[in-house]
Amino acid sequence: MSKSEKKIVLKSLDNEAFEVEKAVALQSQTIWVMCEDKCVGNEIPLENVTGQILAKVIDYCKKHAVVDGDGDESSEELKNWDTEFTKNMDQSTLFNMILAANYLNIKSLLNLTCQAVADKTKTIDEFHTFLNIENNFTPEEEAQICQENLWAFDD
Amino acid sequence: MKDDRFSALPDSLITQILLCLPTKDSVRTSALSTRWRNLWLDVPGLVLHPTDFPSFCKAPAKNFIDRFLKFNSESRLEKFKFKNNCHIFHIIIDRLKEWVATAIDCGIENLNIEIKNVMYSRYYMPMNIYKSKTLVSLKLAKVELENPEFVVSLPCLKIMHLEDIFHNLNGLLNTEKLILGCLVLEDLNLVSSHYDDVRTPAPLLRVRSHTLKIFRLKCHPGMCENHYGAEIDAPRLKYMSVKDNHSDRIVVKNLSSLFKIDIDTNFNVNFAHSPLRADDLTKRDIIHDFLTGISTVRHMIISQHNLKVLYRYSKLEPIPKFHNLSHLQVAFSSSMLQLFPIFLGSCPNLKKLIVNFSVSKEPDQQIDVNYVPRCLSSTLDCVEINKLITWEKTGMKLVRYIVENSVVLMKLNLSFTNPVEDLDIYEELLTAIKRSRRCRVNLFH
Repeated sequence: MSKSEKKIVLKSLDNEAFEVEKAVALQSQTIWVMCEDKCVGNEIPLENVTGQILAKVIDYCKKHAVVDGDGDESSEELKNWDTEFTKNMDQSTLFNMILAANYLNIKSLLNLTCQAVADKTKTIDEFHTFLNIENNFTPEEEAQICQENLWAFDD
Repeated sequence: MKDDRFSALPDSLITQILLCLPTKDSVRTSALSTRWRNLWLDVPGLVLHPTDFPSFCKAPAKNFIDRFLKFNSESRLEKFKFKNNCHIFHIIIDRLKEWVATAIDCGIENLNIEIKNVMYSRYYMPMNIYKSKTLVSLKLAKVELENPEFVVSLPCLKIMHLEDIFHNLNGLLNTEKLILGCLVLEDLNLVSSHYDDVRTPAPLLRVRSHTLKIFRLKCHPGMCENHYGAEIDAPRLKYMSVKDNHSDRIVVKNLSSLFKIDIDTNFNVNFAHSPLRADDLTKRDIIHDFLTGISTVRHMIISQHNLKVLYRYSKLEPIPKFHNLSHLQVAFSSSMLQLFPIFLGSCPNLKKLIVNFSVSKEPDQQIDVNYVPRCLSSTLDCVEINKLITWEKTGMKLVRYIVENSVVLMKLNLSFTNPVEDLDIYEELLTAIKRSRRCRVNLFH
């Protein structure tokens, strides 16, 4: 394989181009399928992801690309890296990361970002607020729902 | 202004987020709004923790799990996790086998069952656990596995962790069958399992896999009454950790890909009662074959137990050479310093050395200062020595030996357990005697 074939260009919604190693990009099942089908050239347009988000996704994929080395040492460090990676993301970035991970089909990134949302909401009220959910139940309906799974609502 | 975009996520992604919440919180989202009314039932997995269910809520908990699994009987579940580390689950646990069987039928990918705080388990796993076409990760602790009468087939399983597993019959064989049935296994973790089929005098657990990359074997001290050995044959293994002071034999085969090893095993050589004797050729061969088998490793962490055995061994025959070893982390006590240059002599290309020093009650030993191993004069460029004490002479002699003989040393970090007031003085002293002029000496306490 020549050097150029190892690289791939990912183009974001806002036309930002990122040249990355193929091994990095192929962590995305979506990109993997596109490459398998040979329906694209060396440049892959990703119409659902902005450059700002794609840059973060690529950071993640670079960190998680399978490197030759030992199997274990990195796992602890990788976990810490993941925690740091999502720690300071605001709600809107997390939202877009979840969508991007889903669209690009990167299972571990989807898990990580969903976990980050869950971690940011320690109580159910926080969850409520974080996701900005409007309660449209009447008090009677709400009481009935609680009754169905009383164990969960019992504090 | 709050961002409302999360509500715009499709249900399939909302349920992914709910999967990360404790089950109790996930169920509570049913009272959020009409859209959320039944979303919790679509969560692609179930994570149960005893604190979710107060002790007086056993029946509702059962009903809830039944309802959840029934609702999802047609869908594919990702995760079923059940952790019990207290006694309150004992009454509902009688249904566990049935729930696990249902979860496996639902195409579960990750199964994690941990029962803690029980001495004797009768928490059987169902038979379909041996032929799941979807399981990717299987983590079990303190449950009982029955012997399958058929060929095990787990075509997708990559991660298997088995801890304190009870086997009714033929446990070793059963574990071997499990491992052989995993076609893509990459990560295997075996901890103190209870095998009660120890008929032969030296039973051996055979771990054979062409795909395995990570392998850990651990035996809790005092937990393994039945001594069994292990034979590891894994040509793609990169990392191996063996923490086991019960096994007589650890046989390694085809470990040419091994990158890192973390060993703490004394090969059942007990010093007070049965030291490694010169005429014990069998044990000498076992140790020799093990060391030769791991000799391509690049990164090694080795315990004091192991070093004691190696020390005895080195008096009987030379330790094989580790030509690829560049990174060594080792626990040395003051009574084993004679071994220090000898062991480094077996690591001709060592670049980084970390020593965790300890003071032994046994008599101190002197380093043979006339022998300088090759790595000191050509490759060793970074040394860290931890847990030194300024007034303890043996440790300081070790430091002196390294400083005076290392030709290419770039960095020397020394950390002391006692408070040192005049670190500067030590630094000056070491700087004055150092062989490598470019070496930076750093002292900490």
